[in-house]
Amino acid sequence: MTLRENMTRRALLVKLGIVFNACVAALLAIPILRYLLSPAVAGGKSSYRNWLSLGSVEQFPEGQTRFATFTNPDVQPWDGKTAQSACWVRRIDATRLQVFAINCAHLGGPVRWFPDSSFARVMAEPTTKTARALPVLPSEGFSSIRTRLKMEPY
Amino acid sequence: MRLISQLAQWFDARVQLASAIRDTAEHPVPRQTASWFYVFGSGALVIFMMQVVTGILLAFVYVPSAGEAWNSLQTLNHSITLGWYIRALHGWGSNFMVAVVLIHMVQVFLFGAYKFPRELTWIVGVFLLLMTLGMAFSGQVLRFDQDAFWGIGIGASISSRVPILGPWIVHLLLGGPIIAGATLSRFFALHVFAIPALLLGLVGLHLLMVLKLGINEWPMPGRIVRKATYEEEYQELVKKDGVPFVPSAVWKDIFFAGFLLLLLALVAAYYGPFGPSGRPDPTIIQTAPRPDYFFLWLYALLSLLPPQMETPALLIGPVVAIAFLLLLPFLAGEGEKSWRRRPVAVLGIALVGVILGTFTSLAGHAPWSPVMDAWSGDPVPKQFLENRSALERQGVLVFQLKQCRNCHSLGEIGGKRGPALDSVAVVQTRDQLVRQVIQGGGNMPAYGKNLSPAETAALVAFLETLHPQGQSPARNASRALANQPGAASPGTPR
Repeated sequence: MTLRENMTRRALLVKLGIVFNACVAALLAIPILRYLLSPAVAGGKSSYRNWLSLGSVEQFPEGQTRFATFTNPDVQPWDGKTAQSACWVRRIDATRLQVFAINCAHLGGPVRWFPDSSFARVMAEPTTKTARALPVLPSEGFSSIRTRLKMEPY
Repeated sequence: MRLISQLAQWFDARVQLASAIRDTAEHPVPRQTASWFYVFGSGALVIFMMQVVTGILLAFVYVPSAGEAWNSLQTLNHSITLGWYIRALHGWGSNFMVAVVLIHMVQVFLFGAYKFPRELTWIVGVFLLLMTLGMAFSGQVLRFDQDAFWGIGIGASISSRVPILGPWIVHLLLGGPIIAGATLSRFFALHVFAIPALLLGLVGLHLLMVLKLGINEWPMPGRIVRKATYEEEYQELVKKDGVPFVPSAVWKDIFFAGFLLLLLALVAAYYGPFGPSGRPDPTIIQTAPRPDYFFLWLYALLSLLPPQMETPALLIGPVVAIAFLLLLPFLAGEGEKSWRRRPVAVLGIALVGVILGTFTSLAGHAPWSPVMDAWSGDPVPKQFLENRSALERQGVLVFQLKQCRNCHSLGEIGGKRGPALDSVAVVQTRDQLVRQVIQGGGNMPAYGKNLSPAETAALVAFLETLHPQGQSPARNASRALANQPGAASPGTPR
């Protein structure tokens, strides 16, 4: 075998080796990319769509807006205080309630409600228009209420 | 000394880098570049190395778990010997890093060092700036206190506005739809592994290009950059008037680096570490979160922008700004380098500086934010109670109890979200005051449902007394005419 033929064969082997490694890399890339992108499809996780208890309706008097907390639907042991979340519950009348997310619709800052001045204060705008509404589900004969996270809370 | 010399020779016989290092150190640079204006790049590098060292030290104790991060920071602050100081060095180092990188960028821009053939050096530099800001932001998230918790929420809110991809970006950023343990973990991985690895690689590339292409010569007015002739002219300049980098130019870099580190050490010792502030508890909402200083301008901008302008500003502004920076070497790659012949460049820097400085200063006292304890904490100044009727004093009570003071100051005490009311009676008539209180307008909510007619009457009676002594309150001239005897009522044909 001539030197030229040896060089050509070795060059071919190098190319084959590169192709082989490229295939292995592509194979490894699939689970790595799935792992990296998995939170982007976390909305598909059924636990996030669970209804979350806000407790008895009696703690929300008619005509008032009260602060309420709930436990997040998908909790890890190391979440600490972030396992909890909060919302505002307004009882319009005997049979109607509204639940507002704690994150304002403007930029996600915390919404604070002041009954005496009847407006919500967020970091920038004290207006009743800044809170996002969450779904409400009365249950157990309207003795307790539940709510649910929005998949796009921000 | 002989032993050290022998050891050094033993190492170099195997590593064989001494010759390359010597050549690099002594490579010639134009004499005029041995200037104090050229020290900021190396200053940024030194601060970066300091951040890596202090970051590693903090990582010995810091626990990147949502449940324990805050506790571990308290341990560092109070239970580990000089833990507070290492935290202070790292936190202040981050501020210094952003400042020095920005100064370096301004100096490079004003000296025209982005022009041919250093376009790629500039482009890599822009990415280094973005990554520095990314490190600064992710570093604040790792503090994981109230500011960090709500701050990342606002970051997520901004990201959510990207069309189509917004929700996915939020989920990737937070590790799910909400801020929880997964959020801190991924910011830790970004801050400690991913971004520093990229930074190291790009800094290496940036330095390599500086070495290969040479330090940008001092920009002389009239010395025009032309692609056809620049490289030859530069080599001639270096040959005729070049000095070895070590020791002729590097001594200023060494002194500046020492000065920066000393300043950092003193500032860290005097001011101490940043926070952590309150626990990152989503159920604690009595908080006023703020970003660190380099994003205060954005905080002010977003607070002041009209709502309809926010999304375009957030989505288009950064893209345009970054695109402009990246394309700059191709838009103005030749021509004058000296700032004396580039008034647009100088004015541009001045304008950006004034804008950022103004917004940062505004964010410091946030005048758009109500002072929520003014109604309970600040009594009405005495001069607004004297010589008032019983009804007007009742109006003072309404003014205080309905928390008007939170947005409106009296005697310079109170909120600044709305106008000061010391002279409101001069600018608004009685009818206008009644309308404003009941219907609101602008940023002011409507109080019609929260005030009884009697309360409204008392409040307006008080507001009508708010005018400077000797100056009459505003009057509705048409009302005076309409109330004259014999005046026709509206709609009556004449």
